[in-house]
Amino acid sequence: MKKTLAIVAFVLAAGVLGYWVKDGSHMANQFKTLKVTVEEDEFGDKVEKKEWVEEFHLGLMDGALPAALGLAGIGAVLFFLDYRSRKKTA
Amino acid sequence: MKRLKLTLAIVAGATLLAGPAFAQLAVKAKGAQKVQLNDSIRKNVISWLSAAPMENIKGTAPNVKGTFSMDPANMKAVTGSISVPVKGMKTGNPIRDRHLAGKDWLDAKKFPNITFKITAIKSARAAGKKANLQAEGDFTCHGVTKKITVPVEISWKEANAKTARVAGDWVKISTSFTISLADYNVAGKAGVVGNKVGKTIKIDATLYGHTVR
Repeated sequence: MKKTLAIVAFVLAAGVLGYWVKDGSHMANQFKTLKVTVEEDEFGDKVEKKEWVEEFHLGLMDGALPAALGLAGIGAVLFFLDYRSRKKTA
Repeated sequence: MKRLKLTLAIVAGATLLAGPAFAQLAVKAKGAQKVQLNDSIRKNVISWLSAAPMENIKGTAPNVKGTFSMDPANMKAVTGSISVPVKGMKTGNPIRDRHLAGKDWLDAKKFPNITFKITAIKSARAAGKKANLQAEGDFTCHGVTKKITVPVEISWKEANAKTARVAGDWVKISTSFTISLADYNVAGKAGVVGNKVGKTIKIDATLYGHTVR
């Protein structure tokens, strides 16, 4: 029973992560950041020059991470309890 | 009473005469000039900002195309339009870019361009080589067209040795305005607008073009 529940928890955790990735996020997103520099144009006005520059951001930062980790944690605990009870009975 | 009527007529006449003069640029070009946006002067990129409680998203829209007709002697007669392809819009995250152009958001396949066409200049004031206009026009996004009025600043630079790399007088067109996503039936995924994506989008544009014959 505990083993089945653990598997369900792992499957749910994988589902949450899968949905999260499909929804537009990565574990390690290769984001670009808009770099703004002010310069004078040919009209003599100060203008903003905007360029996308590579910037690495670690993903897994929004609500999906705690949910997936929580489910995976429950799964791990259940697996451990199942393993311990099997060992005891053996 | 007669004197009052005369005074009013003089004031009205003076206002009518002065009107075009206020909308006149101090440049040599005569008559209506065709102005075409050109990336060779500077990259024409529109930037936009979605400010929402959970996330601020900055974006850019390159590959802006546009032509205008401008008579420096009468900036109240400006006409023209610009067009921006949805597919090239960038937010700094390729997956989000794909979502932006996807069916739930701007649906680039069905509505490939966002356009603004000037239909009337409500007011124009010029000083030296700059003019400030209130431009009324048709803004089309996601297949929906709404009439909006936006502030536009036009700067004129006459051709000289420094501008020789692109022929003709140079013209800079700047504007800043806000649109509401709901006005253009952009609903996105349920629960996202208002949380992760702002209900309104602030648009800033500084575009460069030149006169063509």
